[in-house]
Amino acid sequence: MKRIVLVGSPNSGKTTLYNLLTGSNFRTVNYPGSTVEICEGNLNEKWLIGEAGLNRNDLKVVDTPGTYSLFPKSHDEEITRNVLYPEDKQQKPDLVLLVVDGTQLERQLIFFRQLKEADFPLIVAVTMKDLLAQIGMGSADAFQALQGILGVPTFAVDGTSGDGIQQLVQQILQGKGKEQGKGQQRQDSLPSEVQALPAVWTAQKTIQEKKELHAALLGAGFIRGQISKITDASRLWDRWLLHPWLGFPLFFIIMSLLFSSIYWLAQPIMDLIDFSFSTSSDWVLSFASGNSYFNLGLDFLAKGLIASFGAILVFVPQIWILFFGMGALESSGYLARAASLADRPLSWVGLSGRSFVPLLSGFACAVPAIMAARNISSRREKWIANFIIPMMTCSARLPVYALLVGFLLQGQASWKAGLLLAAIYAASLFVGALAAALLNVLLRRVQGQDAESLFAMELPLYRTPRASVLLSQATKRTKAYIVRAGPVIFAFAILIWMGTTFPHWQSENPTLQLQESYLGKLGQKIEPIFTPMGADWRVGVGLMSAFAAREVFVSSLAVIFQVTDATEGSQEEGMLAAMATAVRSDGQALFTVASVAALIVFFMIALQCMSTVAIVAKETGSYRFAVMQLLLLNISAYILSVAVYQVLLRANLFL
Amino acid sequence: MYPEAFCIFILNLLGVADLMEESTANFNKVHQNWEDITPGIFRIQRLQGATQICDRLRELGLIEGVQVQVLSRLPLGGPWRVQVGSAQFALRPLELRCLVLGACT
Repeated sequence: MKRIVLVGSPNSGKTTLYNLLTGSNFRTVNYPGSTVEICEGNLNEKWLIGEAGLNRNDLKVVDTPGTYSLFPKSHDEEITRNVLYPEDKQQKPDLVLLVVDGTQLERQLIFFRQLKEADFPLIVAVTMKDLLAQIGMGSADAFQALQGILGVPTFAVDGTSGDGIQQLVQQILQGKGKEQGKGQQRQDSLPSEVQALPAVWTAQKTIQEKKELHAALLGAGFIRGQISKITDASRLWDRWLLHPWLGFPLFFIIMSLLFSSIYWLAQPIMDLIDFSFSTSSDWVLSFASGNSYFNLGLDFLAKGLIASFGAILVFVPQIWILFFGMGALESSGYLARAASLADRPLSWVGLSGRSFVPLLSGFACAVPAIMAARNISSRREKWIANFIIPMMTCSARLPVYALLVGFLLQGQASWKAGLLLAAIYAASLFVGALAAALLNVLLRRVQGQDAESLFAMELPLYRTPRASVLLSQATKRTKAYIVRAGPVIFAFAILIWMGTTFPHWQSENPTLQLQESYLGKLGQKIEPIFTPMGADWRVGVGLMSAFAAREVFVSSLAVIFQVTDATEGSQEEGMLAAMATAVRSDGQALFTVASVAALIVFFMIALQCMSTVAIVAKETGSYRFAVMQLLLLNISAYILSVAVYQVLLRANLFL
Repeated sequence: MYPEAFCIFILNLLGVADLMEESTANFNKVHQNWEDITPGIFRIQRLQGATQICDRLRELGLIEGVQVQVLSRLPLGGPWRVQVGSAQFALRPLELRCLVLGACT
């Protein structure tokens, strides 16, 4: 089996090419450093039609994180270096496919020079053919001439249409590129004398060859001045989006639109889903008969399964909108600008703009966000980022906040709820920044001064996001969310329904049935822990179940409060009505502004996701750090939520 | 409680005490006043300063002899926006200080 390794500068189009070669559907974004791990796949069969004796398992294609050279500056770049120089000699690349952005040819040839001198079998794939065509460049003759200059097979490919891929694959199958690297000089690792001379090693050569190369590229039709025209539109956008005065207000407007739209855009579809679940629930209960066992089964279906899944699935449109909006930002090229804008404010808390995208990814899910922090060069900064990413409002928190916000602003315009939701997102950023600042103060106190890290962010060209790609990627991510949460919701639906139904399942008094149930008894034992934050045992059980998955909090409440009331218009209304009428054992309202605010604060800070704990341990290489983070965040969440509730209660502002 | 000892205690608790050893010495400052820089077109005369930064700048294509256009500074004293060919970068002042620029003739 042959191993073809795709390498190249960040954002040069490697993942797009990988998807085309393998038929995969990995997410591609217009942001440098989005790929942080390797992906392996077999060559798509469609490229092998007419190639007798070959099957797709004969060729393994490997996508790698972007790197500018063979001398890594961050963890993701190290991964690429290790793929090129693997410990296991069986994994050595048979061919390196260098992916070069056609609009950045001159600049990206430093890495080409390194690979050529390191004697890798090499083929160059020049991407962004469509952009070159827009300015009348990149003809077949030009690429022929370029191949002559580079001395290795060179092909132009268009990631959008797939143009040029067939020719590229044919050359790979014919073993082209091998002439360059026969492997006779190539060593198993970079020679030590070369390692001692990082970029200068090739920069010197590049300088010497620069004039010659420039003249040759000019002769081949790659006219620098002409290429610069591609940037004109981007520069025009940047005049506004990175304006000294308007840059930040526009940044806040864009972010506020993203997070507030989650609520008000989703509302009509949510109502539809809600209606279908409440109708299903009523329909199931309408089959009730004189047989108590049959009724028990119906009760499990309606109040266990339908209530649990309905409570979560009603929020799926919001999650889809979040993924769609983030996808649009990622594809547009604005993210790198936003990261640059955020660099200065983040530096106040010991981070850099490089942490911005991992933090923003944390709004979708903390696990890939922590992996995205690999492209932060400073270890210290990476630790701080890993510590605060779990505090970002991930999609699992969204159903919880949506329910609590819905309760606080019941009956009011949905744009108000959208604004409050955006404020919660902002607050989670603020709390995260505060935690980062505290860690930074600790480090600064010991280190004596701020250690600055590498930033040097490449600002890609703005590109219009393709609607079909955005739709399919948002749907794919939403599906993944449902598939991940589904089994946990199902398991807890059974557990909580059984816990709240037995042993007095035949009781005619639902309140007594709940209080005397297994879960009721257990909950009353742990209630003193939750009382200081304004919760009773039912909310306490919901909070405990949220450690399996945060969204289970909502489905647990739906089961505990038996939200299938046919008198309410919908399940969501039923849930809000149940919350509004719920009382504690002393007869006081259970859900008040104070207790709901305390719950929001708890969810904002608490680290309940065990997958996040595992990935933090893996990425930092320290179980101790992960465990201490788990303890510190959860203890802080509890203390702060108690403080919020008690202060609001004492101030007598919101009972 | 002595603050430094407290900080070390917390860092030890988190198991990240080795971060204290991360040196800042590599980031030497070069005496070039970038606070006074105005947007314009320049040529890179040489790179000097922290090796790690100079290496990365070279890898990005910011090498001796190359023409760069300094476009503007981002709000709140943020990074500078610099254009090289058709590529644009945001560079922190610390990184820009490694570029010794001359007039573009």
